[in-house]
Amino acid sequence: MMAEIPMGDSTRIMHESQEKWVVENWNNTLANYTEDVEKLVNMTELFNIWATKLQSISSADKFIPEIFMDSYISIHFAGYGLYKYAHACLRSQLESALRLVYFSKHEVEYGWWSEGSTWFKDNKLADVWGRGHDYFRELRTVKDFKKECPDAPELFGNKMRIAKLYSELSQFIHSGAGQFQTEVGKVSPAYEMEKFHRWNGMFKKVQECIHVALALGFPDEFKNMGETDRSKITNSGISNSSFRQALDKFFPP
Amino acid sequence: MIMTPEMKTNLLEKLWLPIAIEGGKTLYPHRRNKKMKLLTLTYSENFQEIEMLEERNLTEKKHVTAWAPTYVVQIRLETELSAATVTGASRYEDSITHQNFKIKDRFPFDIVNLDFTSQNPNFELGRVEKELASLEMTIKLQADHDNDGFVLIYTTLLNSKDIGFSQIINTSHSISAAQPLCINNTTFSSTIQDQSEKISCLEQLYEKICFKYYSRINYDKIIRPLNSDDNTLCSFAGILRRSDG
Repeated sequence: MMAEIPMGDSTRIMHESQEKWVVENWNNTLANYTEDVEKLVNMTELFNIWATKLQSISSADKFIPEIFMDSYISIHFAGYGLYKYAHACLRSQLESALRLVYFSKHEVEYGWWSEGSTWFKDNKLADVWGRGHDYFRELRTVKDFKKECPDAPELFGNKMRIAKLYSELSQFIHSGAGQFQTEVGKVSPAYEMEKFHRWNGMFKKVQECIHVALALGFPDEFKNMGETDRSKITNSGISNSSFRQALDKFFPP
Repeated sequence: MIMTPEMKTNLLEKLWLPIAIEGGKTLYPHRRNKKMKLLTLTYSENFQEIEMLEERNLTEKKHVTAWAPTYVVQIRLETELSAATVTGASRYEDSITHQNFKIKDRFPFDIVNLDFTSQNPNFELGRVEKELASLEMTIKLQADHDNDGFVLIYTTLLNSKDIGFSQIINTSHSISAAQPLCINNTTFSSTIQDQSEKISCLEQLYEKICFKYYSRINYDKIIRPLNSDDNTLCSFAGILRRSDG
């Protein structure tokens, strides 16, 4: 039997209640969404493919585990009924994926960032890549993809897919109305089908955007990753059929 | 997962452990607790080789480097094997070819367990060829670190896919042309389709690749058909030494 860990009264009350609601909420989530959760965990495994293929890129060594971990912990939080924090992980994941694309071509800035510099904030820029998503829109592959696959949803730009997702996810960071963790009259986290369902949809959209952004950000690596790995990413990581068809067209096997 | 825990236990008891014990006696005759550095390709629910080698005083968790094929498996192994180094999150054979191969600085090892069946194998054409290239790169890394001898276990699955014998010979030459791979280009057909020929080729390649870098090898093997289709599990375990010393 494990020795009892010494703790103060308040800590003990917190610890004991946590132990209960964590198990209860996970059980309720799995009772209703067991297949979905399995699919989502399998989706997180797709980042192993990127980890393997981007080994020659120094920033990938730091970012890919973090991108994976954000998705993995997002599932944990959602399973516990901590939906606000599950969404926050997704915003962080999206940011890290875009930073990876940017830093892969900006070694100097990657060095600054690694040393803790916040030059972009000092210059009133939204992120390391500048304002909005203009940097990504100007990438040759992104431009060619838009030209050759006009039916595919547009990822970058004002009111485009990533900007919209980011804005929705930011509401959970900035505690927008309706995105609170607690409810009037109830503070303990609990499984809620509607909230889980909403997070589940958001999770899939974020993964999809990340895989498409990585494919366009690392076109050679995506092209040469082998049929099995590529189809795993397109079939399991990307739900939107227009995106899937466009990637198959743009990167013919 | 290809290899069930029962199958792995069987391989361990019949082949891997006897060779590892012999290797411990040969390489460290005066050490009671052998404290051998282990590199093992392993899986989250199926890592009994670490426990069994530790039980027999051949290694300790702090000397173990466990290569996990995915992050999810890595997290699981990290929680189970806190004293060991757990890394990977990719296929070993894809990683060793990169300049910044994560565990390059951890070489040399005393026991190397290249169990590719634990790594979510990608059953595309060319899988075994890649595995053999990584086997050779591993042996070369050992030799480059002035290692005098170690235990090498190689386990794979042969399925219905052909094996490119010529490709393996060419790759071996590109890894190191200094030492010849003493196997004739005409020993096997350029592309091998027949299962028994594939098994024979795999055994000869295991032996000859070891001989490229080490002058002595004592090895044993287990070849076992699996239930499904034409699949065959092949495991080779040997003690490699550079000299009689």
